Order: sequence, then structure tokens, then C-alpha cells
Amino acid sequence: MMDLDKIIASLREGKHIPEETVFRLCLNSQELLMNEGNVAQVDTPVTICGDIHGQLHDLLTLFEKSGGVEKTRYIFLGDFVDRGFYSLESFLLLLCYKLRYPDRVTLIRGNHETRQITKVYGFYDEVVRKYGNSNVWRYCCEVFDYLSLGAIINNSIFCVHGGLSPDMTTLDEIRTIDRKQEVPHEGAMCDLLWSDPEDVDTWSLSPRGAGFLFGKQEVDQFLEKNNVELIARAHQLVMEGYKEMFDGGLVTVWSAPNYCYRCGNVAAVLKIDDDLNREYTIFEAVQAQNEVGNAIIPTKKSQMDYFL
Amino acid sequence: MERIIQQTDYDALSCKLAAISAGYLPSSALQRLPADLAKKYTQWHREYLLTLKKFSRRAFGKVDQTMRSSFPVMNYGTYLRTVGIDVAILDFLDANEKVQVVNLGCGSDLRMLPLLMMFPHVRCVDIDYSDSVQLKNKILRENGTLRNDLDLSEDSADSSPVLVDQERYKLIACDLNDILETTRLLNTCTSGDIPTIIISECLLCYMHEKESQLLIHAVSAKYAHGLWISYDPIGGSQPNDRFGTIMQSNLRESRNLEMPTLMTYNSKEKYASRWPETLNVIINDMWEVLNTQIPEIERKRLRSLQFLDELEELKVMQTHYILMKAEW
Repeated sequence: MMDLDKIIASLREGKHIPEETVFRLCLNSQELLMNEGNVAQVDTPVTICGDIHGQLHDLLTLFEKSGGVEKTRYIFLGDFVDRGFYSLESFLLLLCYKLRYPDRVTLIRGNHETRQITKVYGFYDEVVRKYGNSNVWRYCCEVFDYLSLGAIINNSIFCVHGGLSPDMTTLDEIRTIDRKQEVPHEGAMCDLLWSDPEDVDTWSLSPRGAGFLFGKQEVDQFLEKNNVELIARAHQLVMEGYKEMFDGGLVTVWSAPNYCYRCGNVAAVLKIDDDLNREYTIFEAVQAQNEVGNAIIPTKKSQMDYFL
Repeated sequence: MERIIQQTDYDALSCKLAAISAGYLPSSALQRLPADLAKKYTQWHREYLLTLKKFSRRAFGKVDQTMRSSFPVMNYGTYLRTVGIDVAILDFLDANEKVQVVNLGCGSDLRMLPLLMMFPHVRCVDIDYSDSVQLKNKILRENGTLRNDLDLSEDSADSSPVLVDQERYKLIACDLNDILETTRLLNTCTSGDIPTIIISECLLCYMHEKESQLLIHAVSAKYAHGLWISYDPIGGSQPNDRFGTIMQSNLRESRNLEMPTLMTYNSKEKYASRWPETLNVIINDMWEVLNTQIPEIERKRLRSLQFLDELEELKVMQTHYILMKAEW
């Protein structure tokens, strides 16, 4: 048996994890995730969290501000990796928590948890930088294929990374997807991870190049057909941390403060209590510090994402 | 400080190469390039990078690495900045035949090449810090393709500060903070009677207020008829907008780079107010440029190149960069 608490302590400090340890973590995670449904069942009270994107220090703040995994149940809506500088540590920390507290952590797949996207958006490069080879990236991608596509809280709140699909409009249909694969470029599995809500009259093409835009009508129909009252999703940066739309039938939760260390936004998590009341907690980015209290400046990288 | 500012040219170069490599640039439709020049456009930039390696392996390594890890959101921004400026130039050239194009703080920009080839009556003047244009001069003369297409000799016969002194193309070393030297050189290399395009692409943002205002007023007063095209970041003026202050502190911490007027001219209106009121000024942020000036068919082409993971981020960034056109 692995000493999860020790690995968790190392990860929280951003320390290097041996390749062999990552391999075993990923293998154990796959076995655990394999048994979860496409739509995981979750009970209240639970705290819903949006995109993390490798911002490890902000993930630690998230746990600190929302009770911590020792006391609180969590759903993470995906996009654990890419863009930030600690994708690996952030993802592994969540896997460790999942292994350590299986009933308190639900992980849903985001559009970044794929081989193709992580090669473009930083996770692959981060692993090669940290290990000198891509093995660890491949182990993690294997885990991505087993992550759930959604979750349902008390049969009343549907959680998904992106949004709805015109191909599948009921939870039962979503439960039939064979999810254990790389995310396809089109079809229901792709749409769940890529789509966005927008003020549109009907299904429309997404400017992202994948998924669809959907409007109030599609949301209302989905809520009624599946007898749920809310769709909780992430996937879009919200400067205020969260945004309710369509008379409260849908909410976007964003949990990466000062996204990419430059957007200046605040972050939020959404707590759902036993009466399905919604309580938002807002938090800001903090300056990361190393073990002796010196500031870690993540902007000290060769690339600066400004137009100069 | 001077060296730190010069190094930003490597950022601009790597961004452009990344956008070329991913297929965003060139845009044959909007940059109005015939097929052979579209091909050349890619070739010129690749050859420039390869020849840079001969003179500075360190700079090459930095550009090459940044180019390889450029995110789609950056490629979009580079596309918008490049095409936005080029369209403004081309529109002016439609209305005026004989034109001088003066690129202030040109760095490694190769914009003069297609302009000189497509418009026989256009003259181009590139001006930047001595170190920057000396490197550019070496690369243009060393590389066979660039040398031939500019009709340059291999040896640099021309003497500082005018490193290339041709009838139609001049490459000039000058610190643009030195307004007397700048006006002196412009007087010798350009004519006040000829319609003139002034380009300042990420130039004014590195200058102090006094020097930048002197430059704007002195240069725009020199020409009877002209168009000033300027691209720069703005800090943002909304009460809870933190983009500009975060940008200042990120750039300061990561590379000791200052943008002295980012928060002074933090809105489109304040930025435009830097030019004399008599000029006809149009200013848009780059998000507006994307949504109002890039045709749907072109936006569709961009969407097909890479998955854009975050639209809101693109919006946050692009609303903090502007394209200003001031005509007189």
C-alpha cells in the first residue's frame, strides 16, 4: 500500500514525485475510476469546483477556504491541467485525495484532459521539463480516459464540464456512452466537454471549434426532461468567479483566480446544502511561497504571454 | 533598460513565427498577398530566424523555444495585430500612390518586403535602436533570399547611422527618445510633401510620457499628409479591472521591463488624446477589430486552425490592446 499522506504532503509543497510513484498512483486511480458511472452519483452537502488549470497554490487556497477534504465533499468539474505551471502536482494531488477519500471526491473530465489538448496547452511540456521524458504524461492520460463525464447531486443538480449536446438530451443516454477513450472531435462526449451556454435561440456552432452553443430553451428542456433543477458547469472564465444564467437554471463556476497569472479575475466554489441551497465562496490569488517563505514567481519563465 | 526593451523584439519575432507556423499568417485575403508573395512571406520569416542563429545563438534559442510553445490565444493576438496594421496600411495605399512608410521601432519586422514588391512607388524607412538595426542589417545582407529580394550588397558599404541607404529602403539607427536626432534623420531620409504612414507597434508603451509626446507631436508635424498607425497595450480603466497593474508587476518581476504610461493612457479615449485634436482619429481595441473588421469567412478559417480553449481570456487580453489610426 502506498503512503498517500506522505505523497500528499510532498505534492502540497510542489516537490518532485518519482516516476515509479506516479505510475502506481495512476494505476490505482484507474482501478478506482473504472467502477464509477459516466454520471457519478453524489450526495449533499457538496462543494462544486470549476477549472483549476495547474494553479496548485490556488487549489490549496480553495481547500483552505472551503473546509478541506477532511471535512467536506467535493466535485471538481475538470480542467485540472494545462496553462498553469503545476499541472502535474495539481492533478496528482486530486488523485491522491480521490484514493485517500473515495467518497468525498468526484472528478469529472474536462476538455483539457486529453492527449491532443495537453500537447498544445502545456501539460505535456511541463512533464518533459520535469522528468526528461513523457512517461508520466502518458500515465496521466490513461487516467483521463477513465474520468466520469458528469455527476448528479441528489438527483437534482447535473454537473458537467462544458454543457449540453444536441445528440443526447437525457441522463440515461449519457450513461450509455463508452467513455474509456480519447475525447473525439465531435459527438455527445465531445459536446459535454466543449459546449457553452449563450443567448442563442437554438443549437449554434461554437467559436471554439468544438462543441455547440446552447440557449435557455435547450436548458429548460433538459431540466424538465431529466427532472433536475440546475446545470452546474465550468469551462468559461468568469471574472466574478461565477455566473448564473437562464433564470438560475444554469451556473458557471470558475476556480482559477488570476487565470494564467494575468487575467485579474477572482475565483469561486459553490456549496450545495441538503436543501439544495446555493452558497458561493469567492477567493483571490495569493502570492505563492516556498518552504522558507520566499515568494515563488511563476512568471519567471522564458515565455511571457503578453504582446510586446 | 535599453537592452531590456530591445529584447522585446525577440518576443514579437517569435510570436510572428509561431502564428506563421500554425497557419494564422499570412492571410492572403486580408494582407492582399498574391500566391507567390504569400509563399515568400513564410520563407522570409523562416530565413530571418535561421540567419539569426549565425549571429546570436542565444537569441535564436529563445525565439525558437518561445515559438514552439506559443498558445492559440497568442497566435490569435499576433494575427490581429499584424493584419490590423497591414489592412490600415493597404487602405491608405489604395488612396495614395506615392507613399513613404516610416516604421518607428521596427525591430525585426519584415513588413517592408511585401510593400516594396507590391507597390513600386512606395518607399520604406525602418528606424530603431542601433543594436537592433545593426543585427537586422547583418541578417538581411547575410541571407541570400532576403539580400536578393531587397537588392542589397553582401558587404555593408553604408555607414552608420544609415545602415541601408537605398532609393526605396532605408534602415536607420536612432534612439527615438532623442527627438533632435530623430527629426534630423527623418529630414534627411524623408520628404514632408509626400503622403506618409507612421507605424509605432509596441513602441510608445516603453517610452516615458514626455519623450513619447515629443515624438508624436514632432513627427506628425513634419508631414503635410499622413496616417499614424499605433498598436499598444492599455491598462484598462474600469474600477475592478486589474489587467494593467498585474501586467506591470509581471513584466517588472520577470524581466525588469517597464511600461511607464500603461496606466496613464489606460483607455481608448485617453490613448487617442495623445495625438493633436485636429487629426482624424479612429481607435479600436483588438477585440472590436476581431469582431467588426475580420470577415466571417476569415474567422472561420482561424477557427479551423487550432481549438481555442478559452474565449473569455482572448477577450480579456484583446480588450487591453488597441489599434489607433490618426489621419491628417
